[in-house]
Amino acid sequence: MLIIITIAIFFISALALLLLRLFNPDFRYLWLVAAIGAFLAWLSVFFWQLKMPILLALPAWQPESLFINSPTLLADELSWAYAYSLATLALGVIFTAVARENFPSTPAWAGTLALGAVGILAVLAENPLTLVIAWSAIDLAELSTLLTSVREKKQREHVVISFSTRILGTGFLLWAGMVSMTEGTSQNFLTASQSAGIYMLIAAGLRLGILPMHIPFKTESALRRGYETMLRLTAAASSLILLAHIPQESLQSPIIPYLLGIISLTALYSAWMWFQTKKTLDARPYWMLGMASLALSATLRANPVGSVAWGVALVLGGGVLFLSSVENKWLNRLLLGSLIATSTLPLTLTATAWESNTSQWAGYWIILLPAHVLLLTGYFRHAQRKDKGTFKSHNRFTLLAYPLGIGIMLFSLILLGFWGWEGSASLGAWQFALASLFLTALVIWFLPRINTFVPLQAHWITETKPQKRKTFIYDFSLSLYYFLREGFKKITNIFEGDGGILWALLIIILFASLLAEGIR
Amino acid sequence: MSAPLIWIGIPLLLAPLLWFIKRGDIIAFFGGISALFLSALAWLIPINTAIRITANISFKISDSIEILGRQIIINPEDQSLLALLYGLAALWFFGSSAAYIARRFVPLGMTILALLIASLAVEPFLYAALIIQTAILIAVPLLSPPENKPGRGVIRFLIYQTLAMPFILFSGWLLAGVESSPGDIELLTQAAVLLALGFAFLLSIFPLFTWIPLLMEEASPYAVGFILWLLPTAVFLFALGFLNRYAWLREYPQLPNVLRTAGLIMVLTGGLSAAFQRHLGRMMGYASIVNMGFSLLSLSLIADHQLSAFSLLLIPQALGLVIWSLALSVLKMREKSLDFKNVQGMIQRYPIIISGIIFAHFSAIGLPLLAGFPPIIAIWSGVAKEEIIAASWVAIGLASLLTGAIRTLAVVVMTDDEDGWTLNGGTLQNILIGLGIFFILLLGIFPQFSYPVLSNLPSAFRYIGG
Repeated sequence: MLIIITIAIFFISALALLLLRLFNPDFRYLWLVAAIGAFLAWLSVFFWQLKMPILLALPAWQPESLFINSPTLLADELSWAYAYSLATLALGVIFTAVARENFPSTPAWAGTLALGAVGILAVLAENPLTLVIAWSAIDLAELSTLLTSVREKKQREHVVISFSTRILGTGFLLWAGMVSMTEGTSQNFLTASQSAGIYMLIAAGLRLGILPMHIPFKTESALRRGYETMLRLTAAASSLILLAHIPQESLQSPIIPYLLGIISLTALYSAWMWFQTKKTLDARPYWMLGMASLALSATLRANPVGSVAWGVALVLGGGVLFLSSVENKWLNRLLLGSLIATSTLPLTLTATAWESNTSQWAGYWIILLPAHVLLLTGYFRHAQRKDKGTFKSHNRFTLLAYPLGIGIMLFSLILLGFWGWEGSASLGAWQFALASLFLTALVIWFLPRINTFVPLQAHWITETKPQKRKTFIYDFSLSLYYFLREGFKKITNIFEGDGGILWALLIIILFASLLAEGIR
Repeated sequence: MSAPLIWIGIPLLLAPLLWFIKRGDIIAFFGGISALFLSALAWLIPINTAIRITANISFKISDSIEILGRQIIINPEDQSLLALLYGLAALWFFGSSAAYIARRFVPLGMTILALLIASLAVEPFLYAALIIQTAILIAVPLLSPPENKPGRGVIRFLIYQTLAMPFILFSGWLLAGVESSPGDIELLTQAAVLLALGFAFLLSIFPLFTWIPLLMEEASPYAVGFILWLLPTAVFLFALGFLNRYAWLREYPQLPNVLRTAGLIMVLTGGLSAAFQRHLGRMMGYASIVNMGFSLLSLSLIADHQLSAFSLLLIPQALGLVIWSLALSVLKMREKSLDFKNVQGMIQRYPIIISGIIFAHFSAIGLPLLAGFPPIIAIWSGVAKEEIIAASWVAIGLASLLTGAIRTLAVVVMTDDEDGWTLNGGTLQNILIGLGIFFILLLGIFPQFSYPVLSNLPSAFRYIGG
């Protein structure tokens, strides 16, 4: 019931906004409706704690003989952290919307609230069936949003590629369910079979853009800072939750070290790009990729709590930075609180993030630690940037709502460090945290002193670099595709040509003789 | 009053009357309303049960009628099947106005539907092959208007479907012998092989499906879509009649393997062929082959799930086909060609129509959230439970069909946004396709909504319905 209340508040608020806009376009309090809806939904998530874990079975799919699993939601301590993060993000997007150039933007607010609901449904999924449905809803929302907001042919191609990779990820999760079923286990996360885990891992990797690494693309849209931040981070959170569900026994696979190697390199590359890219929103894909890689590496070290910690830091830490668009000395300083939450220091949100329950870990920290350092340094740089707007151009209302939105997100980051899940507020692997923080401080000190660290222009996200990077995989895939297409074309021509009927009959006769032999 | 007269006689009488109406939209409306009325009648009025209107007046719909010594019987158990078929046909008839082919489509479509229902109800049931053949002959003017020269596709359609008839008739003749001497392995083998060949032709199993892509190129996509929905549905029901009637056939140990193999061949060949197409019509044709493959796979699960998997496919497949073919018809009418090079960047000009194509295609793949997902995942899981290798072949087929969908998506969005977005296409066309997309989403999230319609379907086949 508690889950339904939260979801219903989100959906009803979104619907109310759209109806009000449709039937009463002059209504002046649309933002207030959105803000109250988001706030009530956010508040309601706290009440889940009274009855955790909460299991909510939605109306069963029929016939039940065919559908062993039906959509079911489960709020446990890990999924609660993600749900709370998404509710906070939605609240942050609505509250900070007052500082946007496109204010008021009712469809975007309605979309944000609806995404909040779908995102929460995704992170609460108790089984792959529920998760893939929520994934598809997010994918279709993302596809339609991006197709209407990007203008160039090449970027649209990227949108389609990104969409297809996510669908492929969905397919891998479905396949994991099949594998579980053949081994006699039920198709839910709690009882997922050992061999299904590797497919779940690939599914998460594909959807997060890590396996293989997706080339990020930038969009130019008025919705970019608010609605698009919500969209991108919801999509990431809905994929990251899968990492918390992967059975630990399946991490004994021989390919795990290789996967960890690829993921570590992806983390390092993304972190470097995040650090180097000048514009924060252009760098957003790299933040997501880098943090998601760290989350995935935590999973591979059999540390699901760590993966959730990285994931929540990705959503809330990233969210507060991407939504921040107004220059203010105190808010800039407050943003550094988010840096602390991501630093893996004891008693912070990410304190448990470096912990490891396997023996594979040692070899990779040499790559992962610098990646973390670059992510933190990049965060510092983006938080201190000077290209933001100012309060002067906005009204009194902005002065209250905007900092409140930022403040709630920062408060949530700190709160989750103490109250996120059982075992939070711990010391964690403090040695790594100290090393990371020391190196971060060092790089920040060197930042203005070494030219390599100061990019002259945001030239990293250009069309040429990604083109070069994708050449081999792209060329190989295309060559294979064209080769197969030519083969199929020839076969089709034979069967659709003048002699096609005779060829078909010949094959049928052969088939019939084989069938007769088989029956005998 | 008898049931065959209502559900076969009335449509057969109504069809020629509809020819006399000049306006296509009125024909479509009457056709749709008539089909809807017959569907409601099948749903609400019981057969073989006296219905009291007043204290003195009551009437009963009898279940059979005799024509030339043959009987046509519609049992009370067949009523939900009739309701479903006429209900889905109503969708097609209403949509024909938006596809601008209602004048030809509705009368011929109604005749074909009535004949195919007659084929399921005739006794001795072997006469069904002849009635199906008649329906196929009537489909020819639907697919190739008299003023046009028949193309290669329609000729091939006629050849392959006609070749099926002798195989079915021969097998029926042999089956009578098998019943009298079940121990005769030689006779049994001959009967089974002939039956398999007959259904291979009727269901267009590889390599007999070449008429489908050819027809999709040369005929109206809406007319072909209707045939691709109705004909396989009727043939599958006819095949179920065989299984229901002959105990040796349904208990044949190799039967699930044969059905699974045939289904896999169709899913794989249809999917792989779709991956390399550059014509939206052909793409739909190959997707319909994958649809048929899934129907065969669902029948291979009869031992575990009876007919529930098969019946679950009926509505999503029909809904997907009607939206897909309507959208293609509109696009073909307005842009003349469905080649990739002609439809490039069309999403900005026809956002709803193109969305219809995309949603229908993704539904055929079984993308979660869409109507095709629940039945496909159920069948796929069932196949995986039997044999994981077979499930991996299904995965390859679906991935190939997905490649086709992604290529279509890439082509229709591939434009620089210079002209902005406009909403082209007729109001009725956009409304119908928009509604169709809504129902695809609704059935994807709540498949149980269709369950009341489907739950009684298996009772039409007493021994396999469970």
